[in-house]
Amino acid sequence: MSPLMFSTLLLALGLGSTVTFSSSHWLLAWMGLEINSLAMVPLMARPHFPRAVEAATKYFLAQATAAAMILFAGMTNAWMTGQWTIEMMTHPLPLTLVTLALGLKIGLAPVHAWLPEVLQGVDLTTGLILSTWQKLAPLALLLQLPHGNSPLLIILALSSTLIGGWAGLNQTQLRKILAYSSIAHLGWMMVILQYAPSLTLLALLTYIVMTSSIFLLFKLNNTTNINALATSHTKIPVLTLFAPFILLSLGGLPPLTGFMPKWLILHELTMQGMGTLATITALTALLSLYFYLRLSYSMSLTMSPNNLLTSPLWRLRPHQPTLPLAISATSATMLLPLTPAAFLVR
Amino acid sequence: MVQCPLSVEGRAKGRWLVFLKGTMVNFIAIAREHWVNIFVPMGFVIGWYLDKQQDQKLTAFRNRSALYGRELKPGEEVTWK
Amino acid sequence: MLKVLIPTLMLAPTIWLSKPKWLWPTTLAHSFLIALISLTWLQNLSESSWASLSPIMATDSISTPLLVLSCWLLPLMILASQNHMAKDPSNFQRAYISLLTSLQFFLILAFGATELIMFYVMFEATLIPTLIIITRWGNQAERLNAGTYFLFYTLAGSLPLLIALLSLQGWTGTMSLLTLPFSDLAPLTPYTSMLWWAACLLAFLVKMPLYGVHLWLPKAHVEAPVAGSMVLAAVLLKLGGYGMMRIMIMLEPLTKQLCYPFIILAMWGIIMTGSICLRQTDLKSLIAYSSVSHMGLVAGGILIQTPWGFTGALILMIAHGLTSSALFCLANTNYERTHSRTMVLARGLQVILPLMAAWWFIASLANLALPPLPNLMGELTIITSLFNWSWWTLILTGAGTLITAGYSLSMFLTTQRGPLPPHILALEPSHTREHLLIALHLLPLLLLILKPELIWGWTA
Repeated sequence: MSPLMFSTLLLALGLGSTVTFSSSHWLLAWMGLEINSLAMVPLMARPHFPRAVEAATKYFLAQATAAAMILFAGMTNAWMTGQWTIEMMTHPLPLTLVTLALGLKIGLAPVHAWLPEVLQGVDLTTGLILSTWQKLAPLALLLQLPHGNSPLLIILALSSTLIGGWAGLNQTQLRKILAYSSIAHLGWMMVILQYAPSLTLLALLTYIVMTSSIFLLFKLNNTTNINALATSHTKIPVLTLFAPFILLSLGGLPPLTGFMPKWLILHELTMQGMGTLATITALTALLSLYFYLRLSYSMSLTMSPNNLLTSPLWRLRPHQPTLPLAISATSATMLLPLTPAAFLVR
Repeated sequence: MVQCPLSVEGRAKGRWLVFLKGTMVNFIAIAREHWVNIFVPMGFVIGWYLDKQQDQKLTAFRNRSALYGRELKPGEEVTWK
Repeated sequence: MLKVLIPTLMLAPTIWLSKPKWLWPTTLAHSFLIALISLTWLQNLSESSWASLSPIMATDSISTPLLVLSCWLLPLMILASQNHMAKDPSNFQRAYISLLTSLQFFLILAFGATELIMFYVMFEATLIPTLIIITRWGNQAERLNAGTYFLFYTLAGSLPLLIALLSLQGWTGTMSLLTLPFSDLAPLTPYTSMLWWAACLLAFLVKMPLYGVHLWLPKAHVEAPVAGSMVLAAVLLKLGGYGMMRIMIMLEPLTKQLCYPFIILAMWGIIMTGSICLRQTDLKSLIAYSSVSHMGLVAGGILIQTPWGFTGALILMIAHGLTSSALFCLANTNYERTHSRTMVLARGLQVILPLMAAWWFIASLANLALPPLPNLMGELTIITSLFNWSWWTLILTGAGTLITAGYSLSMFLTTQRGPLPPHILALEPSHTREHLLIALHLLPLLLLILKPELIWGWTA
């Protein structure tokens, strides 16, 4: 791909999301989403092998369906209430429609099936964009919607954490595992969305930090399945020792960063008198923790026998910039002491 | 190499210099070898100091409270300022 | 608190910057220094309430013995691991000692915390270093399974605790241990309050571990390297007992009815795990099951909530911490020589390691609670308070004591007495390091006979 094309696409990717962020009108928001996903498709198909093209096609179909539903919901809303404002979508029919459509866009559980397939087909950089930047615009819309006390969000959330944990258990492909991890984390964001939207933002932020450090780690390591992780000690010894902390932080173990959003979300849910929901959500996190633990086992807690050819690889300098990885890995593990106390005091 | 004859004082001075030089080198060598041992004692001093500050703060707080405070003797300063 | 915490933090640069040659001596010396500093907490014990207050931490007579125990254990762990780690590259050695140090840091914060959420976070934070120690430096491939069991048993127990604590915060508006005993709980429906009670205790009962949820413990102990077993037996199990003592005060009116099944499980567990020990062939597994049996007694003592029960539980926790840690060290000296945990393969060691046999003798006697060791003090106090609660418990506790004596002696006789099998004639003689290690476990135990009020708790 020529640099000009590439930069145009990246620009469009950024522009689309920004248009959605700044819009209060459904048509504009829809337009932003479309620009964004249309720019993403060529980026995904950039390495011209069939799996990538397949992934791009699947992505396009899922996103186009979601966008069409959003447009339909926006128009229904305009037809029923006579206005296009995002925050004024009060009628339950378009609200439910648009929530489901946005759920499809970010890959929430009952409509999640495209996400692992697509993520498995793209390379790790595109995968990183897909699981961080591409979540922002739909989540910005979800945050602005006037959810009343909707059981729909709870159902979406619980099924996401459950399926995200469950389906990730028997995967051996790292990108699929990360896709399921993304589904589970989105479930945590959804469960609190109607009670404390700022916590959704916080959970999203910490998720982005943690998942980017994992994606960058795998990219530096050049691995896409669990077996290949075993050789990482010969390539990047220090980071390999550090990796379990990032992975367990993604799983939400204290005293790592990943515990912060989970703690605050459980706190808020308990304060709202939903102890049962909080307990179930907390226990579903154990499912995802299992595969994070498995990844840390195979990556750094067992030493696999290596031949002499691979053993001195750590002497070669990495060809990729490591500063972003260093920053994100540090903040993915060390941020718990910076928990904003404002969320705890009511 | 020609040995230059030294006076008695000079010889004593020389010995002293050699001694001084030897110990200095030893000190530097010890410092180079064992400087890491400073961290934990340093941590203790800092921690002890911070603990003491905290204790003083709590004592002042207690002295000011209605439950534990007492009438000041004439001319006695208050502990909290 | 900070005078111990900051030096513990400062151990990290000391570990990573010292020369490989000096790594073990330096860390050992400094951790002993920290243990020495931690003894100053004991001078506040005469006061009946909190001491060494700071905004988030304090010590009182329950937490002080446990704090000192966890500070005492770090140098012992470093001393014990030297041979086990000798073949690792120096960076791995450093990482290993750093993990042990971080464990001590989290343990101090957990025992010293005056905030329940802080306590919870630190209670959980000890999981990661322990998990990594077990799964990275354990010996067999089963260690991964053991690590998974360890993590998931503890987490599945403690996530309901987090919810319970958060709802407690919702009702009372505070999490401070200093004020919580004085605050009223909001009236709950009977059903919810029962669930809340169970959620509050479950995490600690899993950690103790109570018979029935104890399966993670033998696995973790058997697979962990020596330092992992030591810290698990000596301090991490006591986190459960400590947490129960703290939270029981809040659960006051409910416990009377609800504690029956748990006391029954604890008592029955003493018998059952004791019987398992009687027919155990694996040395480390025997010591691990003996821990479960002793902790069952502790759980019973705490659950009936009398001052004597608490006192006995605290004494037994400290005494058992030192004893079982010493036994794990002794088992490890055998393991490092014979590379097997099977008892029948290393019999009659008294002939070739006579001084070790003396240590085995003292440690076994401590494990079976010989008078006047603190172990007996603790067991007797708990048995008395349980007897006062219901006469029938004496059948279970008495039989438990008998079985404990049985398997401790059988362990001693199997490993030390009898003819020496010919295949272990050429064992390496024991090192001064190992004798020092065991002596440093058993001397505090023997000295505590003279001044048991240090570990008596409130009823001093």
